[in-house]
Amino acid sequence: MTFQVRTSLLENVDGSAELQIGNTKVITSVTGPIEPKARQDLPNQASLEIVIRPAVDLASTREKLLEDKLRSLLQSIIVRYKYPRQLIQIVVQFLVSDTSSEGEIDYTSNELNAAINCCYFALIDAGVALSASFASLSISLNDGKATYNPSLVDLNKSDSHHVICFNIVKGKADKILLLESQGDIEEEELFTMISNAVSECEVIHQQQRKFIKEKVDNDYVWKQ
Amino acid sequence: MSGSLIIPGDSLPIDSRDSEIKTTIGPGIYKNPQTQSIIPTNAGVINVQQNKAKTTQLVYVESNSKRYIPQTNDFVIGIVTGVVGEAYKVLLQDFSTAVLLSMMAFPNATKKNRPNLKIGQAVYARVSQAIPEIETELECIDPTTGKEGGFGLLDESGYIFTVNLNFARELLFNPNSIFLEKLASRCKFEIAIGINGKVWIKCGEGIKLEKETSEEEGKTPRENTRDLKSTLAAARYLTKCQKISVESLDQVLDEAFKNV
Amino acid sequence: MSKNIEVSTNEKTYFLEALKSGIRLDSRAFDEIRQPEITLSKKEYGYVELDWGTTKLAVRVSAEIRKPYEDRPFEGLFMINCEISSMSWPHFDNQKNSNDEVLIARIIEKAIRRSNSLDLESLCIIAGEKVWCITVDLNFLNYDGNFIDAGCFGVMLALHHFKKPDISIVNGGEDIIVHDVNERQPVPLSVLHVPVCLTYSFYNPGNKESNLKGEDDDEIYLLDANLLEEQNREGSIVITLNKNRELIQLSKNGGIPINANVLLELSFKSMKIVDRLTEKIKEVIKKHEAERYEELNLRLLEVGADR
Repeated sequence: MTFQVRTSLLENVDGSAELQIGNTKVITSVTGPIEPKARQDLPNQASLEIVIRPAVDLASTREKLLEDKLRSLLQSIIVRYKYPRQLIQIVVQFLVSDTSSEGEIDYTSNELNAAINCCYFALIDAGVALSASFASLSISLNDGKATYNPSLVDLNKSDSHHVICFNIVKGKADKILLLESQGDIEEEELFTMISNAVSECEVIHQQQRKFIKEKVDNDYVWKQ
Repeated sequence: MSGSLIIPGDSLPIDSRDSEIKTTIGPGIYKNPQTQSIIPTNAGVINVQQNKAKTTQLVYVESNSKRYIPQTNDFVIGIVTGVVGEAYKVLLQDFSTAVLLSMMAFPNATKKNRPNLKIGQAVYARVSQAIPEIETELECIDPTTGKEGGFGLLDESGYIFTVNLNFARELLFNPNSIFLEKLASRCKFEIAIGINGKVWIKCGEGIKLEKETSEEEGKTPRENTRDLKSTLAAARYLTKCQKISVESLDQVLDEAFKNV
Repeated sequence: MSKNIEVSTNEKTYFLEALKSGIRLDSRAFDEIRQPEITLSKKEYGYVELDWGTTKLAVRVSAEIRKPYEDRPFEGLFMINCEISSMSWPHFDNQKNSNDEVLIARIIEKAIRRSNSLDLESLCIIAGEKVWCITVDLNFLNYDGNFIDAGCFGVMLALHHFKKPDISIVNGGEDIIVHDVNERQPVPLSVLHVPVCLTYSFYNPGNKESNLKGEDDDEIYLLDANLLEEQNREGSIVITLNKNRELIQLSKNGGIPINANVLLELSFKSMKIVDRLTEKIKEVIKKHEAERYEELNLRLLEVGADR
C-alpha cells in the first residue's frame, strides 16, 4: 500500500519525482511552460508532450498506449488555459518493473498506476497548475476479493485487474478521472470495487499530503 | 489559515462569494472563467492578507519553482540572443519563449542613437507587458523618471548564475535577509538580482576585461585572480545557501571562501 | 525548443579567465574526473544506478535466448540501446536523434561491443540454434556533461553485475531447461577486458580566433568536462583504453587541431585513471557479492572440500 517517493532529484528539468511502489520504480520529469515546436503550438492552451520509456528495450506501441491513457488524464487535470501557446514536457522512465516470463500476459496496470502517481509529484514539484490533486490505485480481483497494488503472482491468479484514478477535492475523492479494466467482472462487483477504492485513494492522498508538507518545508529550509 | 499548507483541490480559507470584500488573487491561485470560482493550483503555504477595514484582501500561495513566468513590473536579468527587426530577442531562462526588448526602450534612444548590445550580453530590465497569449516585452528604462534607473547592460566583469525562484524573491525583497549581510563581511560586492532566478555578482573588480589591461604593472598575477576567485566563491556560497538551514550559514561561508 | 539556450558572455568569460589562471569552476584539477557513486541493485542482477558528479544514469542488462545470426552460428548476440530523452536535458529531442546523441551511442558501441569486451562465444548454447542475447539499456537521467565516459563505465559495471540463469541441455540437445534463479545460482558473464573511455576537451583562450592552433602551444586540456565546460569547448577527443595498455578506440571529430605528441601524452596520463576505474569496478562488485553471500546465507550450501 505504501510507496516511497523523492522529488527534485534532476537538475536540468523544472520538476522531477522518483516513485517506488511494490516492484515498480519509475522516475518522471516535467519541464514547462517552455517554447513549443511549431506543430505543438495551440492558440489558447498548453500542449502536452508525454513520453514513456520502458524499463527494458526501446519504446513500442505498448508505451504509446500508456502515453495515450496518461494524456487523457493529464489533459483534464492540468490547468492548460493558464499557459497558452506553451509546451509542458513530461517524460516517464521506468527503471524497475515486473516483467512476466514468455507466454504469460504482459500486465501494464502496475506501470500505469506508478506512472500516474509519480506524475502527480513531478507536476507539484515543477509548480505546474493543477485544478485538483489526484491519486491512483492498482487493483486485482480474485474471487471477489480485492488486492491493492498486486504483485505479478497476484495478477496471474486474478479474474480481473484494474487501475482507477480519482481527483481529490477538499481531501475527498470526487470524480473518476480514469478507469482501466481488464478481465471478467460482474456489474455489482465493479461498483463495489469502485466504492472501496474511494477510501483507499483517500488514504493514498493523506500520504501525498504528508510528503508534500515535508517537501515544502524543505524548499524553505533556509528561511529564518 | 494563513501560513498553513495548501495543495490543489483544497478549499481556500476565504469566502470568495462574499461581495463585501474585494479579493485580489496572486500566484498559485486561478479563477476559472466559466464557473468564476477561485481555486489553488499549486502546493505551498497559503497567504491571506486583509486590510484593517476588511474591505480588500489579497490571497496567494507561496511556493518554490524553477520555471519563471513573466509578470508585468518584474525586474529580470535576460541574455540577448538575437535581433528581430527593431528589437532584441532576450532569453530569461533556457528553453522559455524569448521576450522582446525594443531598441527604443532605453533612455535617450532615437532612431539614430541605438544601444549596442551583442549576443550573449546580459541586461537588467523591467517587464513592461506580460500577456500570456502574446510576446512579452521588456524595457530598460525607469518608468517614473525616464532615466536609466539601474537598468541596462550588466557588464562582463560580473558572473551570472541561477538560483531557485523563491530564493531570488528572498534576496530581492527581504530587507532583513542575512545572506547578503554575511557575504558583505567577507568581500565588497555589487549584485543584481533578477526575479527570474538569475543573479549577477561582482566582487571587487571581478574580471579585468582584456581591452582595459594588457600588462598590469606592479600587480602580481595573484591579485588579478583574487577578485575572480572571490566572485566565484560568492556565487558558490549563495547557491549553497538554498539547501541549508540558517545555523550552518557561517560554515558554508567559510568553506566557499577557503581558497581565497 | 532546442535552440532556446544561450550561455551568457559573463559565464563564458569567467570560465575562460579562470582556466587561464589554472582554476576550474568546480575546483577540480584539470586532469581530475568526478568520482562515480554507484548503486547496485540488491534485488536483481544487472541493474545499476550511477551518479557521475551530477550526471545521472541507470543501466540495465537483460538476457533472453534466441537464434544466432546465420553467418555466426557460434556467437551470441549483444546489443546496446542508448537513446537520450529530454529528461536529461530539454535540449535533447524526444523524436529525432541529434548529432550529439548519435555520436555518444556510436562511441559507446565501438568501445564496448566492437572491441569484443564481452566474450560472445561463451554465450553460445546450441550452435546454430540457440544462443544468449544480451541487451544493455542505457538510460540517461540527468546531463551534466560527459555521457560517454559515464555511460561506458556504467555499462561495464552492469555487465559485471549481471548474471544469466543457469541452463541444462537435455535429450541430447533437443531441449534446454532454463533454471530459475532460486533453483540454481545464476552464472556471471565472461568479460574479456574492461574498456574505459576518457574524454578530453580542449580550449584555446589565448588565441582569439577559434579553430586555429596557437603558436605557443598553450592549449588547455580538461578531463571529464561538465555541461558548461562542454558548451564552451573548441574540440574534444575520446580515448578508450583498458588495463592492458591497449588502445580500444580513438575519436576526434573536428574541433581545433592538437599536436600528435599531446595525443600520446594524454594516453599515458590516462593510464592511472583507467587502472583506478577498472579496480573500482572489481572492488565494488566483489564487495556487493560478499554482502549478497552473507544475506542469502550461501555458506550453508558450500561444498565441504575447498579445492
